[in-house]
Amino acid sequence: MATVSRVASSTEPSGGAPGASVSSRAGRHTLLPFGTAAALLVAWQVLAWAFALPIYIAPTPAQIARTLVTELPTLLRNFVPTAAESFVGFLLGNTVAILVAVLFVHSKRLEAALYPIAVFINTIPILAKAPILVLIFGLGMTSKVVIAAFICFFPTLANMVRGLTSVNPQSLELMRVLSASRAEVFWKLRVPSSLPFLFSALKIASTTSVLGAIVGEWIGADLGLGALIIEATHNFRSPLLYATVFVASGWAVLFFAVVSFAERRIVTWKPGESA
Amino acid sequence: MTPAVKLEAASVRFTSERGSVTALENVGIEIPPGGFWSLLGPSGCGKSTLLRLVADLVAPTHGTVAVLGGPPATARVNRELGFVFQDPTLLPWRSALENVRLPLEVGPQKRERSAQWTPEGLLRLVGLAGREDALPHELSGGMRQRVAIARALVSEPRILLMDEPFGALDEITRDTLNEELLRIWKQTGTTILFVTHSIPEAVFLSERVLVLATNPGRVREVVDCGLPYPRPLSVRETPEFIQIAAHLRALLQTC
Repeated sequence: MATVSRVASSTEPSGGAPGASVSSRAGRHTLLPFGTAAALLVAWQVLAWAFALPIYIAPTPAQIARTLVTELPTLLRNFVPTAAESFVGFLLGNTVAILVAVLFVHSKRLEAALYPIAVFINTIPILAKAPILVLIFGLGMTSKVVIAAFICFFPTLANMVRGLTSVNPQSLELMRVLSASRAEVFWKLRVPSSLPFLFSALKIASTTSVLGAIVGEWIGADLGLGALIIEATHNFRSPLLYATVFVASGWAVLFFAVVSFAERRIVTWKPGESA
Repeated sequence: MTPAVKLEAASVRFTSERGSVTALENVGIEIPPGGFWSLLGPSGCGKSTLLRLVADLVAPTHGTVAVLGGPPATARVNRELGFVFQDPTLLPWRSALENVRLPLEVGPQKRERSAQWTPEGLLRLVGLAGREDALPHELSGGMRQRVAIARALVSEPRILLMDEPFGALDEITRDTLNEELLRIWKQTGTTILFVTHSIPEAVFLSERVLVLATNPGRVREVVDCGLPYPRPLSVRETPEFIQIAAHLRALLQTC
């Protein structure tokens, strides 16, 4: 009895300590990237001063920050179309990809007929696809939405097909013993199993859709962060160029964070575990 | 009385590009309702195939299979069959209670048959009261298998098919679940077909042990255990138990 209580009392404090250190380590990890970014900005500022770099080659972080404030109206005016194009493109591309994946899972013949073509289209670089799509859909926002949708489409299609088909075979046997219909197997088994795969794809799509919209704007647009990047570059307005890049990246990171948050709320189980 | 399961000259042959394998040949058995039978035999003797034959997961190549006097498919659709796999096969996104409810949500016979075995009551029966909301990854292996047993019982099947359900568990958990299974069997009056690799498990649980031989899978002998119920775990140290186990061991060596 004495041994038991001694063992119990000796494990308790040591059992608590690792837990506490794990959580504080996790806290340090979330702060770590911010610390690194701050250090890099400081180093950049110091180096730009030290080498007296001209502003059009490499503006200092301070100059960029000033531009972010003074050019805020311009940046916002150009941000709105890019944000809208990438968001609508994200919705469109992923929706179509999910629907096509569902079709593929239900018809092997359709998959055999169309999957190779989807792969082929995916191999065309976005820089080659973009002008073609601008020619077809014009210089307005539609072509950018379509380009953003295209860039989201393939990763989601590939992941979703895998997700819907990677169902534990024993779970399928279970559903058969339960005399479940095809629709029940789809909604109660295939769809939930596919969610972890879908979210991996959506996280990729959240950042690439912004890339797609910007590339589309390069080809031809009056307004948008892509158009602003081209304009700032041609006019040697480097602080504005950098500021635009920060806004574009900030939007992509925010988009990614929202999708990651949704993933954490929805996928509460441990994927890949065939419990 | 109609037998719960009746096989007459049943054979199963699997044909693939590499040739055909006879999993079961000329099997004839008759299991009375409420019986507890174990299927014992070396790997590849067709134990699982026999279970799948009854569950309508495999069709016989020759012969007939009758479940409760009708075709296995009818029994399956009418929810007379419960199946417990070696893996718990729980849906990882569903809580323990939602997993037990699954059979009530799918298939043509969705409604609950009586208030006697509610999902909540079944979780209590398998000793998981208070863990209703736990997700499968939050439960131990033994607890997951208990959830799977509760799920198999929720539609009040008249036949429970168990394919090495405790094979992946440690011995202590296995002993506990063996005792609980006998208690559940007595309480529900279900016919149980239990596939196992373990001689002591087969002798401890069953009224009869069906010994299968391999290549091709066929019935070697039906051994009557004859030990009175209820059986405490200590029954395994009695001379009768040891004698039956020794007989089975000798039989298996010739399979």
